[in-house]
Amino acid sequence: MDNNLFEKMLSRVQKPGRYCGGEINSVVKDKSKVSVRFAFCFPDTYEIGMSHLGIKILYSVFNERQDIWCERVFAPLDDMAREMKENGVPLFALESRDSIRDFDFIGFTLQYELSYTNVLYMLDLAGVPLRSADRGEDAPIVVAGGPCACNAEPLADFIDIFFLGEGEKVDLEVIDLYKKCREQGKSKKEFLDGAAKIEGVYVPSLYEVSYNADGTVSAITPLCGAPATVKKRIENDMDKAYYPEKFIVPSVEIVHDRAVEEIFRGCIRGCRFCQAGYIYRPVREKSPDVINRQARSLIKSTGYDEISLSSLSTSDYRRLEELLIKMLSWCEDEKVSLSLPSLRIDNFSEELLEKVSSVRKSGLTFAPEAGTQRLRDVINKNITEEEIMRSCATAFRGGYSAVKLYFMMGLPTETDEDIVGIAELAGRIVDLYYSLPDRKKGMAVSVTVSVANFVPKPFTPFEFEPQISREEMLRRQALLKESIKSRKIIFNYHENRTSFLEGVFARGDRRLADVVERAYKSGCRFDGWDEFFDLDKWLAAFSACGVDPLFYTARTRDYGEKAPWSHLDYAISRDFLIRENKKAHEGKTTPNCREQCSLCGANTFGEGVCFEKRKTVL
Amino acid sequence: MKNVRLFYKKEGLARFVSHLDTMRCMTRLMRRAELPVWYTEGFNPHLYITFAMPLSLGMSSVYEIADIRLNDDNTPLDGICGRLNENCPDGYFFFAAKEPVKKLSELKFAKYRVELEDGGELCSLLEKFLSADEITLEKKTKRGEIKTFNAAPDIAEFSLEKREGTTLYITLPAGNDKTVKPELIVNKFLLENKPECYCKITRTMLLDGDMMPLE
Repeated sequence: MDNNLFEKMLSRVQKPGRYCGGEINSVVKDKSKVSVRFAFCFPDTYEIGMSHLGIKILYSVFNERQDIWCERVFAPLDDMAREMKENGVPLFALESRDSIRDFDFIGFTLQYELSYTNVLYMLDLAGVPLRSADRGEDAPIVVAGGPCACNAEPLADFIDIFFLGEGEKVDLEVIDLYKKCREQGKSKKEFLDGAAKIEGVYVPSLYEVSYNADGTVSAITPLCGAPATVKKRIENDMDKAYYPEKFIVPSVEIVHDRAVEEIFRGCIRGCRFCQAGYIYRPVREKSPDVINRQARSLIKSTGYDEISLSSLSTSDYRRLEELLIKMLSWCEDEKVSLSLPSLRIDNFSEELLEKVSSVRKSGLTFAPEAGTQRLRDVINKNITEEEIMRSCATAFRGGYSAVKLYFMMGLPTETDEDIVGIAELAGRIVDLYYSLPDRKKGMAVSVTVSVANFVPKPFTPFEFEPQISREEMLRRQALLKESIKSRKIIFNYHENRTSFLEGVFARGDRRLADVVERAYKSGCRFDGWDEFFDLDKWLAAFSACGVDPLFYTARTRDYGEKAPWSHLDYAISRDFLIRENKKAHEGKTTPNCREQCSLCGANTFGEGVCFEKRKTVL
Repeated sequence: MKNVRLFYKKEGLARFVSHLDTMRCMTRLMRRAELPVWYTEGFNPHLYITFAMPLSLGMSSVYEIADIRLNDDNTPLDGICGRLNENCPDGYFFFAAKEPVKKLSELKFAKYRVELEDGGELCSLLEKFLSADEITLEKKTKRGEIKTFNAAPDIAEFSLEKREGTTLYITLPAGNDKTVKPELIVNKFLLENKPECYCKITRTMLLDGDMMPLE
């Protein structure tokens, strides 16, 4: 692209820095010396995409290879898209500013369902035909991975290859096969047939889906020798798994603007609403020395003064104390603040608090998820009110005066009592603060209550459950609002309309492809952003395609029903999910993976928590 | 402790990085370059760095100033630019690191080069516009109100050059007492004469009250 033209375009858009590239640690290669070009697309803005850890890992994994050049692509906002269209500039990669239409691969990471229209938006801006069937031999191979790949059936018609599970190895295996096929002059079809034989690779066009009269799936039939089920891939040994020594340091502020060190994958907890708690199993930890070394190198190469220890539940890291001592020994000297997100209430100790706050105090966040003990038992959030109060008291004595609490609304079996219970719990935390004689004086307490709408997800024990209607969400939000009496409590809640659409796509099937395409063509994009989301356009798209969205959200799914994702194997057995669902309705909890194995199926990988020493096995 | 004044350029695509983001970039840059920089000693220690004058988004500069303090009095100044240039993002270039001669508060004026993509009659129109007794501009006050003022007396000097396009060299007040942004003047002119004309502004010098370079 002409430099002068590019600068002109930039001078007319909001926050032009996000389209510039050239950041520290971004990788620029000589394109004549690479054989595969990969456009890593994050279907949202730069600020959001650059905050994502997966893109940083895979960007480096690819670029370590001399023959591959991986570049980043984000979704331009309206003003930039308009400039691009008016100036005949197709979607380009940040590093080379070359059009991604000419790349070998266009890869999307699917982090949330509401980014689906942005996938089409980006393909369209690139000038690439949306549907796989319309893309010829010369078109890029369009691939996708990320958590939504566990049921990306609504995108099946647009994507050539899905990667299931963790991508560090499987992505490269597919690229290697691609190179080989190209050298041998094989067709795209031959390449895809071959790719389908690699574990973790799902080629949706090689599966035929048929439906029953009632609209449910009757059969998913593999074609051309594709396997009947595709099993996800994982990294077995986290100490040996690739981790970047450098992160790109964005020149403009992004959402999570800090170094991130991953400390383990998976979660032992098994909260029944949480998809991440199941699809990333089993828990595999990195050792403290490896974490410490990697963290140090990230700080050195980026210049960040903050590092976050990332995992789904950081306090479940077994050697947290040892790790913190190691890290604090240099963090303090180098003025690096250490943040520990995802701390669970139940094992939050005073010593731990002191260690974290000795560097810099960041906010305190807890996720009780439900307002009453009964409902917390249903969702298997194994914490008691006593524990919540004890942790808050510890935090208040430690000098904190602001607490954030996360809840969900619309959980299975939820009653009005559970909703009112949220307000009451928050109220008791406010009271607790003022009852402490040794609290920090002169500070007002603030308790922020954030309530998300529950969305049933595949591969969780709640995949069978209906989602409450939008009207019911509104009623419960209003009920909670009027139940909150204290002005120290700040109440935030999620939009019901976006939660509803998320619910449709989370457990959707291939028939939704037409709806996504139609909605996109009628102008839907950035659906995850309240200011862009337009439910009326979506409803019009559903009705034009003759698809009833409530079919996907409102009904209870029978244990015997064939799920649209039943050919995808995330090593979570259906029997286990059914057992857990039944226990939820009985209000019975399930011990975490470290206390007792519940035979979910994740042990087939032969790694991680499944093979730690425990007292009992079910 | 030693005060060090860094002189740098911010050009190319780096001009699309805002002042706030530039400050963040600089902090990280100092850390990557492992300069023994001084941190404030408050409750939340942070790296001490002060900029002479924010640069508007979209504007380039060939003469920017940032002051830092080094913990170690014996750090040689001549290696600093090299260390910074090795570690900085595209578009920044450090060309000097010296002990400050004057205070940053002595900054009074700045010189700008404005390149307009029109070598036609625009040049003479601009000359007429800038020579008028009255150039009424609108300015947003800190309280969000819109205030009008006459910028004509603030133009310390200007000259024009006509080649393929029109280039304006203009000197305007900059600093704590008074700042007049060149883009306000140019945008007003373009709005009245040729709204679609693309222009590119570069800050070329920071000056003290005697019109001498701030060093």
